[in-house]
Amino acid sequence: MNSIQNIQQVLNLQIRLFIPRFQLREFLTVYNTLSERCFNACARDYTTSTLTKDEGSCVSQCIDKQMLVNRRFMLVFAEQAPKALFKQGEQSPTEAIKSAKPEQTPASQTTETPTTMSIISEHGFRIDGRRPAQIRNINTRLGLNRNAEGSCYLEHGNTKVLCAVYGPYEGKASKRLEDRCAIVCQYSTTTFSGLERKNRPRGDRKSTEISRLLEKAFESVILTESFPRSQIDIFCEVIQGDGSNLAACVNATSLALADAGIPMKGIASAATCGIVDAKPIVDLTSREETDLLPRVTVSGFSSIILLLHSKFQLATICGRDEVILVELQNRLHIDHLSVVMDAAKATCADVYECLAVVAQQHLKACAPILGH
Amino acid sequence: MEVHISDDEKLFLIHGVEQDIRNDGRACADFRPMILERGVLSGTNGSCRVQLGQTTDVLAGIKLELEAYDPIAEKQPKQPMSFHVDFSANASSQFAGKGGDQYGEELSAAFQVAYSRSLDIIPNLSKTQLAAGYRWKIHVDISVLQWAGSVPDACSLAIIGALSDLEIPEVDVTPDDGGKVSIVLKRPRIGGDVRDEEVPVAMWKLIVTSCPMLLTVSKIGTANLVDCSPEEECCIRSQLLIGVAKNLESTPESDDANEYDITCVKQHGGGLLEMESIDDMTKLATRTAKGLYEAIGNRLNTEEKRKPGHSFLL
Repeated sequence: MNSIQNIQQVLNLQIRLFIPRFQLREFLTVYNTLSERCFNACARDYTTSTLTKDEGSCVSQCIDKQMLVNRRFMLVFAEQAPKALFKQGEQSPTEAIKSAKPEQTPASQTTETPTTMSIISEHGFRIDGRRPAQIRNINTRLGLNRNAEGSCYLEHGNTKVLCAVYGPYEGKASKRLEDRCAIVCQYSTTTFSGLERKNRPRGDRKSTEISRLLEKAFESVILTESFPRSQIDIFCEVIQGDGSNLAACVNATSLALADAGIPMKGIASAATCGIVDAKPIVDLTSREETDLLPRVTVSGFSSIILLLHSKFQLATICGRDEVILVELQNRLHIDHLSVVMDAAKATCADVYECLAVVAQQHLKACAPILGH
Repeated sequence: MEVHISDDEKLFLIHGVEQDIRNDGRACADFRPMILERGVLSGTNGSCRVQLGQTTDVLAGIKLELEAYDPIAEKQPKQPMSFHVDFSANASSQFAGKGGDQYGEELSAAFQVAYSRSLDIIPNLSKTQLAAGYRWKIHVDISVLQWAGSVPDACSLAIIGALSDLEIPEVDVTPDDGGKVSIVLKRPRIGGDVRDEEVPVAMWKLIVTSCPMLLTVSKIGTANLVDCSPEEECCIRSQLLIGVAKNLESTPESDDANEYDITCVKQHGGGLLEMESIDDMTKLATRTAKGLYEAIGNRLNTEEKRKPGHSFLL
């Protein structure tokens, strides 16, 4: 009942202060419709004059809902009405104000949108408590799949990927190359991996695209000339997707290839990086990926998936890192490109450190079997 | 996984099973050691991973969906579960692309048949019917991660595990405008009308004690086997998929024959079978189902909760 009384007070105040007659009628209509709707929806017990506890909470929820709808309508109206009122080509007042401030940079525009608030808090933390340049925990296990030559299970926080490598073997004649081996990748996600259930695990445009990207990336990592007329299969299965799926697949694949003992130029590592308020954030979760999306139209958000391939032993000394895969989703302001690239490179180096430790540990564990 | 073994090896194997000794030391009616873990994925409403002999590995995940339907067109409540089996390319490169689709569809159809009477088999499943026109749809998806024989058996155990792990939110259904209803999540009650404010949503679970199992019974030589290894699958003459469910009305005193219902029989692959053999094979299926029900019941009661995803790291 409190909320009804509150509305009544507000209404009274507005009536007394300034509202002309037609607006008063408008308000009364809203009030009457509101009370009738919520009464019909919630009041079920007619034996007492007071509301029961359940009814009370129902009424307040009902009013909140209706008021939210009302407010949303008002916002849309305020936005659309000038467009209808002012002729085409003529500037509406809001547009005029916007165009009067050309010095506004994309970054300062983004601070006005409420979505940016939720990605980095005022104290500089992200939703899951990470700093902008901090990656999620990486957990791995090698040699999980006994049927495959090499396999790897890799977790980036809640993103969980299984990767299996088959080959090199004498593959299909149609795919055979005379001078080097063919790499066949397949990326698929289990139907229960995402927030919403998917109908198909693979074959849609997005997974085919990711498969091709992986293929191209690993063609330049694996020493393909060592296995002419043969084929290597790489299968990635995302059993739980929480952002940065492609990066997790690349990392899992390079470990699985290492497990299979396939000669490579080095261990490839990958990282996803986005930009908020001209500040880069790395290793995005799916929440951050979706939150960022609406901002594409506002200023230009981007998520760069950049794959860096560092020399296996000389990574820290050499410092000359090679990029084997770059993918950009959505739009990005050109000034931000170098910022994002630098952040992604640094993250790739971090991830590489983790992967190198895993590979070395695995090698150490295998040493007695290898006879060293 | 394709296995190629020579004729002599096959002969050795067949002579062995006819004397009730298999290559790995098991008897014909024995299963390989199995591992069942629930709650392995945090992103699903219920999940389960089953490994048979550490080489067959299946992962089942359940997603709930609030579904609206036309109550006038559907007088009888439809069973709310749907099954989908996917053979991941990780299991074998022959499943790459569309390679596993045919086998997957065949298996999904078998589960759909075995669970066609799920409203009778699971006593409290009718609770998924929320109001006229609204129900919970239970999507059971199975991903075969490693393949080394008896995938249907592993899948059916994973389904039972995932169903027992499944938590369905309690909801409040209240009438709304235009004959529709509004559905609101409920907090759990702690005595009388007081609700627990700490827990966000009250959950309830399905009773899975009599869920059907899909067992593969294979004929090798004159012997009937359960849980075949890949080598044994090369020698199979004919294979039956048999769905066995515990009869709810049966009492412990009643004899075995009445205790179990056969919910599905399908021949898998080619081969000829005599009538008597089919009878023998279904009997073997019910016998092994009894042991499996006991084992899975124990496991579900005594399993300790672990962190999601932990099972893959061990």
